[in-house]
Amino acid sequence: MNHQPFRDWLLSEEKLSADQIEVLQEHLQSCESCKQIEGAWSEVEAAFHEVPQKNPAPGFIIRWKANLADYQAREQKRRGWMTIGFTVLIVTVLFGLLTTQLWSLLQAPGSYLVAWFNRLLSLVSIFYTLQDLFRPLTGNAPVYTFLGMFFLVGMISFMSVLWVATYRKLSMERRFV
Amino acid sequence: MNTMEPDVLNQVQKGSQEAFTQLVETYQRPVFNLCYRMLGDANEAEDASQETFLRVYKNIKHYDHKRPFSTWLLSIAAHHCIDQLRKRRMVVVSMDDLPYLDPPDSSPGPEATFYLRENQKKVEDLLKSLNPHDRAAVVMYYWYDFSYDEIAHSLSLTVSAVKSRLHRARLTLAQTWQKQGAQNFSTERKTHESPAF
Repeated sequence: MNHQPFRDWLLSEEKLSADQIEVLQEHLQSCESCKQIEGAWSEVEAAFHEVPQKNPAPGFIIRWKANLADYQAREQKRRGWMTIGFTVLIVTVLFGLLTTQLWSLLQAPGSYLVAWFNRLLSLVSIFYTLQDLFRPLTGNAPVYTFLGMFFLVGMISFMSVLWVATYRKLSMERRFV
Repeated sequence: MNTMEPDVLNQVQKGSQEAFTQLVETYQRPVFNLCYRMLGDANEAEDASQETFLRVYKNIKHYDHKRPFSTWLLSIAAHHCIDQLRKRRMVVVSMDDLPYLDPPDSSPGPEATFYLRENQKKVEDLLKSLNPHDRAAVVMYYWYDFSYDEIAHSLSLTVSAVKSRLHRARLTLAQTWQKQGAQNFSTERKTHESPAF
């Protein structure tokens, strides 16, 4: 006998039609196996309802706070190590660049000094070109004043942004901690 | 199940530790209960609950307010327990090494306590007969009144997959219950039989 459709009906949560219930009842009267499944499932459901909710052992919140503090300490340590790692990387790169420069100075000091002198000259020529370019804007004022003002405005803007960001961060922490 | 005020959830998302402690206080019981039903051990359930709240703490910014918070929280707990059960298959631990730190039940009398404990043990054994996903679906359906849709969402399954898993689980549970009954009957007979026979 094929028990599958009857077991599907027995274990399904969907409502059966009157005809289906009648057929199922007829089958259950003649089939011991399906009858046992029906009885067992009813008992399982009853057992589920009787079992009370489990509570954690007292002090769950205290243990949670300790766990959280551990996690935060670990995170802080990890961030510290990351900052150190990043700094070491940058220092290494800079040191490498400096070493190559020093190496070429030691290999051929004459040509190296000439090369640096040429670079200095090109910087001076760039400066004079810029001075000529900005003369219509700056008038008779020397280009140093213009560059100084440019630098000053840039610094003020940067400091303002930094101040706003710090203020926001500090005020947010104070509000919610 | 207890619900969380949206204001408190907003504060939690903004990083308030005080609000988060309130959240842990509210949900410690349902989370622990789910972990216990999934893992069947009080110590493991404690660890799993603590880990669940830590995961929630790390990912609270990703929580979508359109979804009920309890569903999101319990799905994190269920996924963690499923992972733990998968790992457990690979590690063999002596049951004697695990201390049982179950808080005492406040029952009226020793008989009722005994009956409850027996029932509890039976249910634990029953749940152990299911695979992790089926177990999670059963726990969510029968202890937390989750809908098929919520279970599907929590366990990343389709609704039809949830229905078929629950159906399969019911059959397994009924068959295991029958076997348990038969075993208990034979054990009872053995204990009451005279040693001479």
